[in-house]
Amino acid sequence: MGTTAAEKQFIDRYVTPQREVQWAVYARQPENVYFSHAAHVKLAHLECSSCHRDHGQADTLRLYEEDRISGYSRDIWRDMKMDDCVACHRQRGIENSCLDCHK
Amino acid sequence: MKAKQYGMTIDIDRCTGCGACMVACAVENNVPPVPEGANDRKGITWIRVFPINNGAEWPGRQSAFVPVLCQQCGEHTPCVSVCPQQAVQVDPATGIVGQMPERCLGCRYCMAACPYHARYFNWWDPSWPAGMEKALNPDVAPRMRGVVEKCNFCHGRWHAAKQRAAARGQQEIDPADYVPACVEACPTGAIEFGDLNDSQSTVARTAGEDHSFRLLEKLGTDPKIHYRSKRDWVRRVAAAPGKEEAHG
Amino acid sequence: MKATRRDLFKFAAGGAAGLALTPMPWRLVTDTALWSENWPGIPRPARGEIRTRFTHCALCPAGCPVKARCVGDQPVSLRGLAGRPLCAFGLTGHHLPYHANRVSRGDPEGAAQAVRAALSRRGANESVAVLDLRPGRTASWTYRRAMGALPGGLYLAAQSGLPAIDLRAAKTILSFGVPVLDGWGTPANVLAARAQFRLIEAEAVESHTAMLADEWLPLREGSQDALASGIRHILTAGAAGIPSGEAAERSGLPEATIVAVAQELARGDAVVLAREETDAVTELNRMLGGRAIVRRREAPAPFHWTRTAAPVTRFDAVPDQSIRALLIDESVSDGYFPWDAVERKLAPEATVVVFASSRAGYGAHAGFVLPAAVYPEIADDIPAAIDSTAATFRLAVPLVEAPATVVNPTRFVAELAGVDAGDALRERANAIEQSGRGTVLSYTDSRSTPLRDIKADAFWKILHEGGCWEDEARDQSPGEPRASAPAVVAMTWEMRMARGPLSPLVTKLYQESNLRVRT
Repeated sequence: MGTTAAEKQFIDRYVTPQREVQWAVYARQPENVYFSHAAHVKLAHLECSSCHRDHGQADTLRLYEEDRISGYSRDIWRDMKMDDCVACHRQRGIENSCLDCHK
Repeated sequence: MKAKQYGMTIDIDRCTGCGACMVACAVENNVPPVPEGANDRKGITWIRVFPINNGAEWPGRQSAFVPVLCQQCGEHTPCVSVCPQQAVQVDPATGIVGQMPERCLGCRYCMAACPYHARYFNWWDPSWPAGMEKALNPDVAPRMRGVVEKCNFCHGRWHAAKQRAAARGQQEIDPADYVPACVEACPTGAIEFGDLNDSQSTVARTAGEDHSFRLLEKLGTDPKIHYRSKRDWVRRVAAAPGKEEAHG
Repeated sequence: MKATRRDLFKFAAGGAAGLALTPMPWRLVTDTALWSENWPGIPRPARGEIRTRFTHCALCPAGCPVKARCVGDQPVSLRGLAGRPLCAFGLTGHHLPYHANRVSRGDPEGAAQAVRAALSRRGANESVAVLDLRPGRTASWTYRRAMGALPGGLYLAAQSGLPAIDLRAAKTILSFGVPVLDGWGTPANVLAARAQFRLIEAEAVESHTAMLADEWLPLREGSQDALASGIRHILTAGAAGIPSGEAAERSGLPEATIVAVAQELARGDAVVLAREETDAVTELNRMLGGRAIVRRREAPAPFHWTRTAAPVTRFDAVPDQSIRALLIDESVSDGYFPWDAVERKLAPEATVVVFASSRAGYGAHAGFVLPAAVYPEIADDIPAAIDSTAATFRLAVPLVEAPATVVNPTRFVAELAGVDAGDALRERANAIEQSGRGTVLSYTDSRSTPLRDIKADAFWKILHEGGCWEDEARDQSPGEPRASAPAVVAMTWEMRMARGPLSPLVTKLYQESNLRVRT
């Protein structure tokens, strides 16, 4: 059952007592944001790394850092704020209304 | 993609006053209930059905029910022109007047400006009985207190329709995928929804018919909700300024 | 230099001014605004893949098919099928497990003990009874079998041997306060048939049905019998009933109106509906002899059930003060008796056990209130609606797990009587399947298949995954126009709103608007 101490910790602390892990999501957006992967991947043919960083090539994950007051991850602040989405949309000439991305 | 103008036709002769549209709207959009003791002025009813009558006593008395929701005014909406935060916008691609509670600062100027009283204020944070928040609709975000909200033609379903189209590799949605909750819930089909720009659609055809009218047309708001009734007294009551009292 | 208060103020003012020139306050405001968007006061909907499950709505005998969209095990929205949308109650069904008035705790052991003690104390002329507020279910058969096994056992139903109303055979409907256009029968069918009948609504208040009816008769409160008798008098040319002049005076309606209504009813294919069945109404229906009141076959049941089951006893046939122990299944109710009518039948110091999911109702008067499951937690079949001329079998499938404290009423009663309730629904389905009658409609593919062509296992599967059975149509024999069963009150919107269980969103209909008035 597993090889590393981290895996043992996972089993002992979460799987056995049936507790949900408090996932720290790099890309967590506010509740009022609606994002469709289908539209961006299937229709616009975007690469994963254009919004998320290049996780796939790395052996270890970056440290998850969070803004103390707003609660958002530092990664959001780099390339996933609304301004960044709007900038990319404008660059590609895609008009959007507010409700297209907000719910 | 040709721009759409989503609109509705509401047949007052078919409305039974059951209120299913009111509750379906609240369920779909996570509209919170108000606390005990609050009245209809503090309530949030994105769509609200009003009982009306011709003012006569029996046996000449006739009654009807009129559902009123955001009339989705045309280009120059009263609410858009007064909002200091640009928290509401007319989407040129769909014609929907979209309210963004996340931008709203709660000044309620738009509520005063709306002649149809179709905008509602969150006087309280949403409060559900213990456990009921598990049953909320994940397609729509709940609002905090202090912001104004209103009908957005079920944009949660609009997103779902676009998602389904994108999964099929298409930009255009299938009209059957996008049906607002009130339209779906109406047992008599009194509320119909569609693209007013599409001459083939039911709403486009019936909107132009003889018995069709709009509320407070003289104000020039150019609403996209068209009402229909073969009864003259209904049109008379609907056009009368006394309707203000009925709106509460 | 001595630091004075004035220096302090100057320092503070200078500091504030300097701070305003730095980014700090603005960044703090931005971050705080972002935090406030997601502060704990706002609930977060569940996230996850949406799966669709089918069931039937158990809130009323219309039993509308339900398409539930679920995240994990939690339904997050309920919708009807195309052309058959759910009503305001059905749409909020998924809120009901959490409704504020929910009974969550009870004392089943204490209740069982008390009932057994009452049974041993039972006098020779006394009985132990189950009052079933939704007769016609498979659970009703279990109650009947249990009461058949107990000495002095009685099975009481809110209505007995109900005929069905065939709307297609009615040209005129005279309704005494029945909400025909407001939740009666199977609303989708009523509205579909609307153009074929003329509705005369006789009611003191201008209800929704009165507003939508072809004619409204605003008769005085309590004068239903006067009007019915007056009409009978006209139709029998004076042989029975009361003179129309007297009827007019007692009801407050013009005599000419009563005569016109009588003439219209005389033209044939008329039926009278009433919220409270009285002799006057029954006699009028018998006179009119319309084809709209028909006898409906019940869905087949296992033969050994029919042999051991107690007969259905009408409530008013029970002698006063003769019930030693009364068990009331209020977990689902389609009609109800006012408490004082029930109390009259109870022996002194009788034991009353109520199975309920809501505290409003009989719970206030019972010795024991045991928590029952609420739709969408229940596994039950739904009896046919009053306007259904053929028997139906459709299941309310549990979408959510009931809390652990919940008591299953049929199991409780069956255990008391030593009857094996076990797999009653499965046995019933098997009995129906063996009869080979009728058709099965499956919702996933909208296909209708004769039951003969479906095996037992497949039948059971379809019933659980979105489908229903309907008996074959046959020449309807006329039904009895309902013997009078006073004190039964059929459920209306107002009663549902008063008794619950209710989702708080239904306040949109009365508290947050003036669409309906809450009594």
